[in-house]
Amino acid sequence: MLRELFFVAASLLAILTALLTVTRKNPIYATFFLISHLISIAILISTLKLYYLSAIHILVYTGAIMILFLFVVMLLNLKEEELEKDFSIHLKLLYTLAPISVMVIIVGQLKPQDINLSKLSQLNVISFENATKALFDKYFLAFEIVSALIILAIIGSILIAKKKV
Amino acid sequence: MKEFIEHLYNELEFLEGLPFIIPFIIGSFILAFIIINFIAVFAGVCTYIERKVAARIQARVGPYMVGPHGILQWLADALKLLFKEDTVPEKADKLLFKLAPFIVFAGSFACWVALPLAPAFSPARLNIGILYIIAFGSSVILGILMAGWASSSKWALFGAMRSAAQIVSYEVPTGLTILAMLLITGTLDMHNTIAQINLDGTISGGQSQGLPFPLNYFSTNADNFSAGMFSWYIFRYPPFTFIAFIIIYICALAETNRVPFDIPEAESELVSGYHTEYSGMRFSFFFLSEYANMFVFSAIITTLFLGGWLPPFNITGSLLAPACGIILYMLVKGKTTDPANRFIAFCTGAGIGIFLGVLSGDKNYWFADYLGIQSLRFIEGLFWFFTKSFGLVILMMWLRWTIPRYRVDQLMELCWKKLTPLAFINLFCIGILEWLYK
Amino acid sequence: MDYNWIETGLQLSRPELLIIGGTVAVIMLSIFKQLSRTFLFLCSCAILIGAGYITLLDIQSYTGQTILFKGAIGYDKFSLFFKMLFIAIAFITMLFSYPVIKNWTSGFVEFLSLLLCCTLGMIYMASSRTFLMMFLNLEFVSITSYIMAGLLRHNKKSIEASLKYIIYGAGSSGIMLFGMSFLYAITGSIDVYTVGNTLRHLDLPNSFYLITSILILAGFAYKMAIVPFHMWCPDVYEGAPTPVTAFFSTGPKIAGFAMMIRFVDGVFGKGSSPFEWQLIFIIVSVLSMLIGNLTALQQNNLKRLMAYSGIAHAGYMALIFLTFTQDSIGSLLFYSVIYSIMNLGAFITIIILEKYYNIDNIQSSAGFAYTNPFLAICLSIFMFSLVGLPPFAGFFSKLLVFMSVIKPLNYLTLFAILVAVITTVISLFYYVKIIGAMFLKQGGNFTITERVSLILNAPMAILALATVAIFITDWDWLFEFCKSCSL
Repeated sequence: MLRELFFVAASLLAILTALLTVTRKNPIYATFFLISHLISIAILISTLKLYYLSAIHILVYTGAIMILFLFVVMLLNLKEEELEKDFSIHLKLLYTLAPISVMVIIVGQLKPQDINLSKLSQLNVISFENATKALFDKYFLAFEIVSALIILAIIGSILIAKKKV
Repeated sequence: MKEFIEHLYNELEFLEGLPFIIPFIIGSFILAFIIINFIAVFAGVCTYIERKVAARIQARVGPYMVGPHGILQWLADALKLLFKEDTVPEKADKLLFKLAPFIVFAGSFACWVALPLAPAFSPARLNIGILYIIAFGSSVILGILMAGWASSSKWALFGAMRSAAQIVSYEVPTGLTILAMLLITGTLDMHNTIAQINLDGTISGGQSQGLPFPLNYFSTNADNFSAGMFSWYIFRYPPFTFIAFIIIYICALAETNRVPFDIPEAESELVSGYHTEYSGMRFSFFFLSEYANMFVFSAIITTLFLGGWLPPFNITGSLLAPACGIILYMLVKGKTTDPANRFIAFCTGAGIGIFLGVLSGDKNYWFADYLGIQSLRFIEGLFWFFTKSFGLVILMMWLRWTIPRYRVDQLMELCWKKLTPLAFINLFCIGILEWLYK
Repeated sequence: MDYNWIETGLQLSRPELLIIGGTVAVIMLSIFKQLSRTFLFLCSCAILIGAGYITLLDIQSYTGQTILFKGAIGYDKFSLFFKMLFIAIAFITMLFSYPVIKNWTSGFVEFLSLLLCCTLGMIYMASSRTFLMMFLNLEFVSITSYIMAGLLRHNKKSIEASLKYIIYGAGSSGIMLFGMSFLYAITGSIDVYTVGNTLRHLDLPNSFYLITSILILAGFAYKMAIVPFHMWCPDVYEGAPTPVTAFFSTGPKIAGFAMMIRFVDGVFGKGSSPFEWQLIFIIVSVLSMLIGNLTALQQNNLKRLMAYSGIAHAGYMALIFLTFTQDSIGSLLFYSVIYSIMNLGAFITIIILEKYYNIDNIQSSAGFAYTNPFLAICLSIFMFSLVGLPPFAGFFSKLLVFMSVIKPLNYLTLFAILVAVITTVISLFYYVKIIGAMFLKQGGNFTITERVSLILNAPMAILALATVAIFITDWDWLFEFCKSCSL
């Protein structure tokens, strides 16, 4: 009961904040709405009992990524006239209609029984312990590749940020 | 918390027809109300203590006029803040400016949900407790950035930027140290962290005792009370766990913007940082959240290192400690007039008393065991948890008035060049020891 | 717990371990200032040679199929073939890039280590069996590519290339993930073969295939540089350092094809892809051929021209997905070998022109053949081969692809082949334009600052020789080998 209530509320909030993110002209406001969108997604995840994932979601997105985002947006400090630039009405229509049509086609064509939720719940990644076990078992190679990827990204960012050449 | 309400719901007959959700929501509100008020009173008392500590260190008297020894000063301050005019700067971004204090406060308030306040009691028992606290604790930065930007004042913006940079940076060594401790505890659940300590100091899952309700509620997982202070995680792998404790304590100072890391609100440079433009109640929300944050960090450290609600010494020790302390105090009293020396003498005596208590091999730890009243466990656990956490908070205040402020670059250097590598090495060593001895 | 699978997995992926270990070693060694750049370069070459040698031993003895790391990657002749090919491409790229990069003030070690890492990512791209691994390795290759494109930090064009690459890459891999999430929601699995098996038992509407295919194709097509995800290509090719461009035009592109083959094989199976899927592929490949070849006609800059030529070639390669039989996969493998030989060769000539003669467009190369006839002849060999004219290897690669596509003759394949043949004729114009400018026109004096390094000349000559030799000698064994390596 409480869970369903939260589920509906969080999903509505997620849609609303996503729309607001896209439509805001002020980048700071857009960023804040993006943050609230991510938080509502985290709530959505936690209603599926994936608490670990939801906490990680908040930690990574609002705690780290979005803060850096905000930082950059604040430091750039865009001028009013730069913000005034706008898409033409045709482009706006295109950008709204294209995703909507994709969603309508997919969602309209699928029957609810097609979506195989039973297999999703068999994942066993629900608890923290199972998630970590899966990382070192089924997704061992993926985990290792991610670590190599992070080293690479560090090399790249140092290379780009290095002052002395 | 939920279990407790469930018990009540099953026991009390007049709740029969109601769906469970209603008493649950009411119970949650009551608890939230209690905690908010606790934070408010706690912050108030903290300001008083802080001013007194400061006065002591600077050889002043401190607040003296309101109440005996100025003890009601914090109440007067709170009243003043309540009645002050709430100003919003002309050029400020009104919505964000008004919203920011509440987000900051919500971030630190949300952390209280997962704290293990007493045996088997926390507002909500989460199996990802510590992760949840780190996650929501980091959302405080959001409110700070919001406040700094919305004020459209350069002091506020600089303060917010510094603060965000500082908190994000210091989360790295904090996270690594917590990770190292998680290698030992093996659980994210803050309750299990304490409850799994066995009588002999080994770690396993806790057991509940077959007592009737509500006694069993307060005494589940409480059978490890007599484990003693050497079963705490700080004594698990001595040099490394000590280092971990020091690292995380330094990081806690930095993350709560306390001196020596209070550059975001450095008065001499930035007036008062991100809350420069705030006044009245909105200002006091920043204030509350700062003290709430201090307590939350101290509580995390208490849980991970200092055994949470476990009492540190047995009944013999707790009788001998004040006795030895008073004896030594008496001996020194005639020889010196400096109260600091007397205090040190008392502490030394108390330490000797505790040591004698541990030597005596007494297996009775504090009142519950001594008196045989299991339901006292709850109060006893609450007492010890708050004593330890509060002790760490007082230590933070003490440090504030003894150490000069760092510069921005020094602060970052300390974090990235010293603490982070040290935390990595520490993590590695603890991992190896855990692998060897488990 | 049983850890045998890790042991087996690590044992069978020794080349990959050698590469990643070598990368770390090269980075570590670069800390010591007294070690010369030549030494680091030789180390990296030795790593690639070692990895190639191990792979060569494996590929000769191995037949069969093994699944490693709990279904994450497949170990079969297909992946071994691409492992070999990618290591060879990386080795050749590293060889001829040395004269260029040895004078760079920064980014020397980074280039070596990133090239090694990118090779690793490409190898895993060709062997990944799950959506997770596909996405991760795609990102792995992409992120290394972004950094490599921006290695010349002071050059505005290089930075622009890197940024454009990042933005397109992020967008298209996001779209791809969106598409994959639909397949995952329907089937509840991320393993491509399981997904395929489940889909066959479900009665799904065709438009579902259409939408998911378009969405997923976005990620793959971006790596393969197929229209409409080709926009990054000319700018990135122009802005990135030329050795890096040479690498981009072969390695990651072919890796995208390898991953695509595995994906289509898993989800749709051989020869039975749904009509919508074929339709999408005919549209994108015809568009790539047309746009690639027609736009290349107007190009003057050599690197931009090669970019459009690469788009056109990707269009020819994408034709095989129309039929998708064992033969057509084999012909794609053959095509990719020949394509990388001639493309790398063409880029070596471009590097020499750029480095020693300061030529980067067609006009300024007028009359160049009289200054350095050897280079001009090699360049014409590569160009003719890229067109697909008979005495060169490019002829066979194109012929085999066309033949394998046209086998189930219907109006779709006929149309595709017609377009392919016509655009091949069109492509003759711009390739010959370069050769014509060099041989037939009179141009200014080309002064050379130093002798062309042997490390550039030798690979160029060998690749040109290979292009001719594959045609003249018995090329059948190579095709048979490619066919035996197809999935």
